[in-house]
Amino acid sequence: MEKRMDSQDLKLLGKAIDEAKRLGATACDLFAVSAETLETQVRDGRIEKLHRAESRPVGLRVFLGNRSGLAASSDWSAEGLSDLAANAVRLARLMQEDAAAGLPKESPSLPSLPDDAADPKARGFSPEEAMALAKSLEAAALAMDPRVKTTGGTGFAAFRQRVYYLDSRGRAGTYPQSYFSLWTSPVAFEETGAMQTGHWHHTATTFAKLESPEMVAREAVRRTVRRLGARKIASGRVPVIFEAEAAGSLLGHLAGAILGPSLYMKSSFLLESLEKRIFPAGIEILDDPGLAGGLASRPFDGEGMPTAKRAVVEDGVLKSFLLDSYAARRLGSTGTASAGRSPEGAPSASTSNLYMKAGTRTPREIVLSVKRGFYVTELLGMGVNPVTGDYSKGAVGLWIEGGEFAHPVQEMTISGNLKGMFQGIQAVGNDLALRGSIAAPTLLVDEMTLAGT
Amino acid sequence: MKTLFESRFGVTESLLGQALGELVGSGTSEADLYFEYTVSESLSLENGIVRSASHQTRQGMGARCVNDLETGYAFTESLDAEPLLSAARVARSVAERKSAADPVAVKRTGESKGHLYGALPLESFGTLESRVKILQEVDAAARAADPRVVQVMATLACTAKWIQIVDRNGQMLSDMQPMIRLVVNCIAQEGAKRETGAEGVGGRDGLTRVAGEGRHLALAREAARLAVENLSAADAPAGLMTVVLGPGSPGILLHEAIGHGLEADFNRKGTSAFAGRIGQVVASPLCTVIDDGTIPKARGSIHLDDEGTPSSRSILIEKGVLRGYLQDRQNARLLKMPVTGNARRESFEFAPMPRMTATFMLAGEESPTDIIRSVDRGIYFAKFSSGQVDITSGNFVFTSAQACLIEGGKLARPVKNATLTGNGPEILKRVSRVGSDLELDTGIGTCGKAGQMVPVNTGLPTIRVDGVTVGGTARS
Repeated sequence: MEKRMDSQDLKLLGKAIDEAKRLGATACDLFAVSAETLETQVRDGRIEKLHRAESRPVGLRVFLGNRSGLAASSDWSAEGLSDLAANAVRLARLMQEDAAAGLPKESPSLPSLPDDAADPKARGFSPEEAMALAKSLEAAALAMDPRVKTTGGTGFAAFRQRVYYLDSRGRAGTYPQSYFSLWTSPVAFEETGAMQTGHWHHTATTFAKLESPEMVAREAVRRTVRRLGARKIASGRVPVIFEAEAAGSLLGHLAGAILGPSLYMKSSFLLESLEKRIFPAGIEILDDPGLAGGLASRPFDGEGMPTAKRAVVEDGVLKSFLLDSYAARRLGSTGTASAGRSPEGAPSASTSNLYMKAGTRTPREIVLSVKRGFYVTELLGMGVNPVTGDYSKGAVGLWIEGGEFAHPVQEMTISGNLKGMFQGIQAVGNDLALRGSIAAPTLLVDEMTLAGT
Repeated sequence: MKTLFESRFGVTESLLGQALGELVGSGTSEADLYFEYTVSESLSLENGIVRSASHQTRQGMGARCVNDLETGYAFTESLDAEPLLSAARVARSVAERKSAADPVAVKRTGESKGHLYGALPLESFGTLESRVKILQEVDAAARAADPRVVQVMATLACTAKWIQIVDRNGQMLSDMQPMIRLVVNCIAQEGAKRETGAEGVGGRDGLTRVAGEGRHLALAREAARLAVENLSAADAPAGLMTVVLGPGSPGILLHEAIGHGLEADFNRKGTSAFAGRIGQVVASPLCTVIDDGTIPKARGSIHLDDEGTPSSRSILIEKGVLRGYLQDRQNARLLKMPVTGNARRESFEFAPMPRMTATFMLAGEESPTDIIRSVDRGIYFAKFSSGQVDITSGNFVFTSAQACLIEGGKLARPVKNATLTGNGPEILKRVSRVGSDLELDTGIGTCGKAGQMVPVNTGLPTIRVDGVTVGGTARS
């Protein structure tokens, strides 16, 4: 039944392709999503919000030779799809010629994955069950520590979508995705009345793998109360440990520098770094679109190219950029089936599940190895210059004195340059947890500038 | 005359009345149906060619039903009768478990008068050809400005958004909200060194806003100049120092450090560092901070907020004393305070929240040059690229896009990568001088809160702030 509906959807969407060809398009492809969300938030044991939504954005990219145009809407009617084609063709006519424009050269056939390739429980998730999960998360967070008196928000969401890809060469594929998420931001009070919060969440692609409300609450409360009494400390140059969650953001900056557009626009600090050692020997970083349970797993990319696992960094050496077909042609290179896409925009390279392999040392051993240093738990702001790698962010964390946590720290900034920070990694933790689509274990960076008083 | 939503999508007044009947129950405190139809067109230039254009149309309706503290929300992208009624039913079923009321009579209260921005955007955005030409001229001007400019990226986006709000009493209001935005980003290279510079302009206005009197060419040259200037910028120092913030966009300091903390939802829940502090001193007596959604053609301006309340000018801080919060209807009711017209949402997909419009500090009396002259050693921030705040602790951070050292009362060498950090309720107490040169930013700012993006402005006169933590990488 479901399978037949998906093929009907593909056939329906094919009308936009047919219409674009009729209007003179020499090639085109379409990317559509049909999504369903249920989200609830609770506060003080009551439902603060219940949000239900279905959306069906559809985007069409057309080529008139080397000119291209894009149109997007949420109208799947025959009339709506033909308007979509007309708008995309109208824009394409006025664009300038771009020799690199076009669909990928190859046209492999695509899978149509059935509904049970994702967790069917995400479809029509019961609002009562959602509210009960969120309530038990809030209750657990409030019961765990007397200093936690409220939360800035506690919720649960179930999300399901089906992705569709079609092109003018007759290729069509579709796959489902599902996510379940629990989150809370406990607020803890100091005796002075000052407040601290520590957001924590867990997201999984199947309901069975979602952590229990108690587990999420425990970690959220631990992260909140350890911030109580935080103060500013003196400026200086010290070793910095990035807790796993913060370390993941460093990999996010690596990702920004190895994606197609930042390379052909020459706006990456790693422009000249392919085949060079950008991390210490031994560091391995992978992009794995096929990872089971991965939050960014995808059987094919936004241009309908089958995806595969790829070593980005091998033994510290940058081995691969991540490219969509346009970027590959601009760079005279080969595509890596890394096109991310939303119906509203053009395909553009993106990471899938990007992670650094775990090392051998426990986070505790890494902390013990530092005499005086800063253990970063949260970062604030967007202070990274992608062109130069200059890095300067607001930071919250714990001060380390003699290998032990001495007191919490806030209102500090840490600064450096990503190239130096990558090279300066001296220890890699054994605590890799694939909590997001980009993840790293605990990392120790030899020295950064800390600014406070 | 039929409304846009009736003539284009067949949403009649009787259908609206029926939907309201499904939405509103006996315990309902706030409820609305929010209709939106948005058409946007965006062009982008890179590598010397206008290579991509996108056209987007979106329509939908969001139904919201609030029962005291609880909110039910559902939206539909189809404006047909059955999906509309079903969304209304789903929204009510959450917050209000009692049976539905009878249909409600809908009264058209009228279109907004259009006094802040025009109502004919599609023509005033010019033809697609004219917009392509503007981007080509931007590319040429930026490259001609300096031979070290090696890459130019520019985006020109135009949006026309029609909204129609029907509240629980059947009052129907509508508005048309145009928006235009041009952003230019240049990369300059000298040897192996590359740097960026960006500049942009926008507002609720037509094409003249970005290209009238060669404005786009001036923008292109300024982005090029900034990129080239950054090539010779030194690393910023680190530590506690005196800073001077220039007029205009550094007003993001008010937005992050103060504005978010004054949004009524956080204060009603007691999770803002400003909660319960109305009447208290939170800034130096030199500071008066305003949020104003009624500035003609400004990016953050709105005739009506997204609950239908007229936008207004609110005093947040008066001579250092906290006076009020930014309200939507639900929080105003719960806090027993007046609404301020600050309920905003990104689109029909979201329920409204208290948000800022244009947030700025009133001008003082000092000349900007005197303020700079008063600093022996410090940093002058002309432009920030971004900022973020943790509302509960009050901690914030900003990153510079353009800054330089102040030495002996004079602007000296440019520095890059300077970050400024501090605590919201404390930072304005350190303001020691306020200039006479209040400026609004150039109108390209977007504010994110709980996953919703809305257009805003910030503004500031030149101010001096003492003892602020600056993060940089220079070794002392």
